[in-house]
Amino acid sequence: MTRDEFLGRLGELLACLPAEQVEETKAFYAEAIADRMEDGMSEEEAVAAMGTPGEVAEATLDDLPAVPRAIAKTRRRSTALLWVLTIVGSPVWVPLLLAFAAVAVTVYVCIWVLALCVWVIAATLGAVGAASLALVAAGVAVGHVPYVIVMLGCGLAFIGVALLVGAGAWEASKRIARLSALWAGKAASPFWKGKGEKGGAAAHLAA
Amino acid sequence: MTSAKKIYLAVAGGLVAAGVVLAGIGFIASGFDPAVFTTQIDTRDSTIVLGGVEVDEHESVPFISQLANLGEIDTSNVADPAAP
Amino acid sequence: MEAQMKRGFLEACVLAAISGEESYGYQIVKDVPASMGLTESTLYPLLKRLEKAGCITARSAEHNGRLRRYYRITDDGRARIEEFLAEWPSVREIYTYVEGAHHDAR
Repeated sequence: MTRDEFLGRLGELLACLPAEQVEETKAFYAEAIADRMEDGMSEEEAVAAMGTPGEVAEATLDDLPAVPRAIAKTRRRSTALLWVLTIVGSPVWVPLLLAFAAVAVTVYVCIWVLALCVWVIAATLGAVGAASLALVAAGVAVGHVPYVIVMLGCGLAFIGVALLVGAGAWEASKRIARLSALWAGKAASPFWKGKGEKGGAAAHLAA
Repeated sequence: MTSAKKIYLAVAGGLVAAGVVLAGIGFIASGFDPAVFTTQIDTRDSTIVLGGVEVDEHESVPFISQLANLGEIDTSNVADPAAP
Repeated sequence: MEAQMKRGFLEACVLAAISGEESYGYQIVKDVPASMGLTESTLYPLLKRLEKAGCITARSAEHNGRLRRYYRITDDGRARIEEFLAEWPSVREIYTYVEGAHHDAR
């Protein structure tokens, strides 16, 4: 096989990928072949040292996250097959995709509701404290001294607790922001290679 | 922990401590009467009870007396514009 | 070398091959021990992964009238090598155990 034949075939097999990625991959192997030829190998030998275009394409595609990989491999066998499977299978994968999205969004929202709850508690405590302080004025107007002192004390104490809970709420919110970012990464990982890394179980299913 | 956070927590903790102490003093001053912690605003009877003591002159506690009067709706002066 | 073991070692080998001065694809393939059976088709995805993880950086430079891609290790990459090397005592312990148990049983 000549170099151009090899690269041409490789480009065909990787056609399902974005053009930039295909060019980058071809450039890498073109360089590898050229280096070997510079080392004294003939074109035939250099191309053979790469393996078959099929093997090379396989190795490149294997590095994709689960869903794009399954799509790319099916498209490689036959674009028509991919379309048939997509359409015929749509009563299956469309509800599945919606369910998956619903679950992902729900978990995300739940995580944030947790954070919100702590803030609500802090706010409520603060409101109670403020109300107690307001009642101090009433107590003073009436002249009920023990009541004034008690309400002042309760007011200050509640506000103090509200501030402490507020600080806790702030820390909790920061942790929860990190948690939800992690979750978003995990949820997206079968579709997109972000911080979701190996794409989890879905990768093994598709492999 | 940053020093700002330390100051914040110290202030909050101080407030709680001061508050508890004051509440204790007030409780003792009332003669260990648990009612001193209560506040009642009855909108039906329009009565206000602050810490176990009924308030007779509602004028001295303007905002709370408005809450107490919420139970009354004045329907006497409503005129029907369409009436002849 | 057996496939499962290979995956763990390949990354460290490739990083080690460029831990000195920067290198390029074919040179890396020549430097890495033959027992790893490293080929371009394995190397390419690995280099992409390492680049994404920030363990290596790449640049293109001219060589004999064509562009060549040179790879250089980063501090994160060196840290990864350190982590790999730190495993050696555990690995040796396991080999000793398996060897000992195997010889005693025979």
